[in-house]
Amino acid sequence: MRGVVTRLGLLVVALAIWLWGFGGAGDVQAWALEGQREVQQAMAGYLQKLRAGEAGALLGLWGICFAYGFFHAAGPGHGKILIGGYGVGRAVPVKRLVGLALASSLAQAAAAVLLVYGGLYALGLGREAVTGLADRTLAAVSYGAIALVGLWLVLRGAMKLWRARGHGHGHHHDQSHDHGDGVCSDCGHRHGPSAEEAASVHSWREAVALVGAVAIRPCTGALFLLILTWRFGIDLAGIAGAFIMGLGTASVTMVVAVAAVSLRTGVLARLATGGTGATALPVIEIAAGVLIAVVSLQLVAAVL
Amino acid sequence: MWRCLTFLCGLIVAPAAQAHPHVFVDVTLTLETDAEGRVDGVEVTWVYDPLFTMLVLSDRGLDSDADLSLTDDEKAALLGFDLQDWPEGFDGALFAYDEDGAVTLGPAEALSVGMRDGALVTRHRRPVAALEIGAGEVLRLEPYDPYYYAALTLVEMGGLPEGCTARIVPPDTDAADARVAEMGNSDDEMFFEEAKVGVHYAFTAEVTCVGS
Repeated sequence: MRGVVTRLGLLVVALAIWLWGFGGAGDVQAWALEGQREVQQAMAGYLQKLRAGEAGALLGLWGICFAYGFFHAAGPGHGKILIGGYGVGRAVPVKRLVGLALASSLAQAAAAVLLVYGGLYALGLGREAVTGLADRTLAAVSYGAIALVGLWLVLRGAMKLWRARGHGHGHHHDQSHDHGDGVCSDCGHRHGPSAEEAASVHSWREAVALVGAVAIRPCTGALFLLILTWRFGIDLAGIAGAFIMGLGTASVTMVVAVAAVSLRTGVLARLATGGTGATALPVIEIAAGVLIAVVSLQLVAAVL
Repeated sequence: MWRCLTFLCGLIVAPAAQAHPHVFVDVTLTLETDAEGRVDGVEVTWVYDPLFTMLVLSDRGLDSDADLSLTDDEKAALLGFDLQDWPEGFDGALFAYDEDGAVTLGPAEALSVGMRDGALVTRHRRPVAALEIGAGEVLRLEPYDPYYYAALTLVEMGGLPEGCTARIVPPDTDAADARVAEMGNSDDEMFFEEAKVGVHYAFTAEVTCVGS
């Protein structure tokens, strides 16, 4: 299993070299941009057909929604920094991170539905007010929340590093393994909640933070779709389409989740032979946290 | 380990720093010349993508019969809709440079609004103080949205003065991506100044003349 994971990690590294060492990113970007343009055009075509009452157009629209989500996520942001950084920084089972990637994309779709129906229907706002709210205010809030998650990783890593260096309490029973049963190997009794219990509380809170931070900022493409379908009186087609778009986005972020976890596992497998794991773990967590925080704070500044 | 982490940083950061457009516009530029053959204006044609077209029309309750065409009244109501409330620095998404630097483009005058193949087409004119392109000189025109909310593609450059030719240079997306990724990786003030990434994805028209 470890061998497979290491190989997966190396594959990701090779992909990264191709992307940013040999200009692959430019190709991907150009491809994603051209794809988005074509998909946007096709979406307009299906909406027009639906408006004219063509029955078969609904499936076509939903297919296009999936493609839109995919191309959009293959290009920029969309929670990839957070999911990827978190997966590298923290020991999180791959299934859980994949689940979180899916949940955040679907929650993002739900946020788009809430914003459009709350904004247009309940508050009577115009299209520009609603998309402006998403593009500026909510984008800034979302990136701010993502930066906080990054800072949280930095803080946790720093605390672990502090303890691993022999500070804090006298015996270091939780530095090398995260899955202890709470029974201290030196003294044989429980010190309150076990590491696992503590971890599960943390991971629930962190899961909510992760999903929330991504979901706050709905995708502009989903807003466009929802606004149009609402105006054309085909609300349900649009709402379903927004969630399908979320699935398309998730298809990319879930791959990022798998890549991040396998990279972490691969790196750790190498370190395990060197015996530097105790300090390397918190260092990786801090590095991932700093990365998330720096990138997202810059994005906050860019949208303000 | 550090090498791996660096690559991962690249993997995550580079896409994050890229802005993404939501509107796609095909641009045609046509130079206008005075009696002496000097450039005194640029006519700009914007063809919006069909989805954004639908949004603009439905915002205003136009084309309620869904036939993707506009009545004369509807056209009159729409005229100049995209020439108002430009965000700061947007400058009509057109930037011009000659040998002396930036060329000032005057306020936009709306010319027409219409529909073509489900796409909204608008035309407007930007006046220019009479400008002569001497032999060996270059007039550069760059249509782009600095905010990159709209991706502009320059499809045609026309109305060239006697003896002039134009070359359309597409953006070097690899260089642009490298530049944007670099911005994302640096934590200096420059990022905030240059966060408007549109210029890196701009098409350029280079007009050169043999002189008279």
